[in-house]
Amino acid sequence: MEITCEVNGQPVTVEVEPHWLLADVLRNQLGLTGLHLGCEYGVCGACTVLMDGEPVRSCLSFASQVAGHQITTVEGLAVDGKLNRVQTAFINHHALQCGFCTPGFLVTGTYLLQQGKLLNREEIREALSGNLCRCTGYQQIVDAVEEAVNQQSANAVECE
Amino acid sequence: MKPAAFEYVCPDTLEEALSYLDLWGDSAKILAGGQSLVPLLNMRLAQPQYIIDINRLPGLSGITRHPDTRTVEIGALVRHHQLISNPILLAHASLLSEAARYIGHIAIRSRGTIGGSIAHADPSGELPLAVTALRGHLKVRSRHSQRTIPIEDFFGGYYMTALEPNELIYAVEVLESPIRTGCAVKEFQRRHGDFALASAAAAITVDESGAVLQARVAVGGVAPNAVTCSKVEEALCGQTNNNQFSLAAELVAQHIDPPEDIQASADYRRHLAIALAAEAIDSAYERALWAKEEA
Repeated sequence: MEITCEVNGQPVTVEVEPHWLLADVLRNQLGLTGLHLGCEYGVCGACTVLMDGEPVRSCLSFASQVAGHQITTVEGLAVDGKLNRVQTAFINHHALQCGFCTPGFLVTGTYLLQQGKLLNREEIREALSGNLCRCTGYQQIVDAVEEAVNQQSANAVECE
Repeated sequence: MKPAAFEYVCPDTLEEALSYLDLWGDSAKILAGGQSLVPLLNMRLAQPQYIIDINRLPGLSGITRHPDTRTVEIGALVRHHQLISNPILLAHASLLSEAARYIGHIAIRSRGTIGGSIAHADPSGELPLAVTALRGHLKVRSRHSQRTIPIEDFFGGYYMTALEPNELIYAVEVLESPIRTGCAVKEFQRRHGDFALASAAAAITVDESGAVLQARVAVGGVAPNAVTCSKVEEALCGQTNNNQFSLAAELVAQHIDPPEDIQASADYRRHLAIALAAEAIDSAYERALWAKEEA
């Protein structure tokens, strides 16, 4: 079957089998290999993408289901080649080691950023609890997301 | 792993979906949020021949209050994150909002649906627990018939339900919580977002003096399905203090015979169920008192 959707701001039409996972189609048919596929049953969070702005597991959706929807992968987070706040904070805080889980954390972190709310550390930990990292022990990841989210919210408050 | 091949349909109307289901019965599975079904497909624990995707069906995503019957109806496709923040539920059936907060993680709550969670019938599922505590009803349709199933008649053991192969849940209905009601859910899991080893839900209504007028208590994860605890509920009526609540919570033991597995012994699960029920009752009572102050 043929589906048309929007991926990282670009309209895309692609031929898929109904049982192909969204994650596989993004990686294999569309070449978006920044998205990582870890557990393939919704536990690790590495394959998290935004669907119409909401974080979803791309290993628990079929590509056939996203016709007409907007998908954002880690490749779509930077704007005009400029890394977003969460990505920059990950560099500043050295919030990755092997990098396997990073795309999922960046997508989830960016979703939090887009909510525009001040979040305390506990709320950030809860929000990131669906993403597993086996290298860092999470501290720098939480530090990075905390800085990115609260910096943006603080700026927004100042603007008001 | 990857799912086995299947035929996929994505109908635009409920009638069309029900026709497919009538035709294919057991060889089809309904796909709603997919947060329980797709892992089973990926691990090939389920290999249905047909998938009927109901995500595009209109009219299944609403939350409606019916003041005449004092009920709240939740469409089967309402996502968990909607339950958490919906003003009608927060005001009139907040146990569902409380329960939904405990489900998985944000990326699960953005897709998972109430109809899917109940049809999946996981013994530790939060929404089956909350709807059981509230004595909710499931509105079910097939191509030629329609019925309403009380949740106490719905579950038939681990992952088993009273649904016929050609039936689909299209809405969940609960009675509005009376004024001066507080709700709470407590659960114990080894890691955040895991399936609960045991869980408890309580909705407590107090009278104008602050004594318990009505109690709704259920426990989950300790039996094939969530269990209502009528002896606890009866013992709570008229009570006003935490010592009596703890004594009432002990009666949970009379309602359950928990399984033993690699994760926990039967005794430990029983202990957890009682302790969590006591915590849920305390917390719900406290919230009921706040509601009384506001009323």
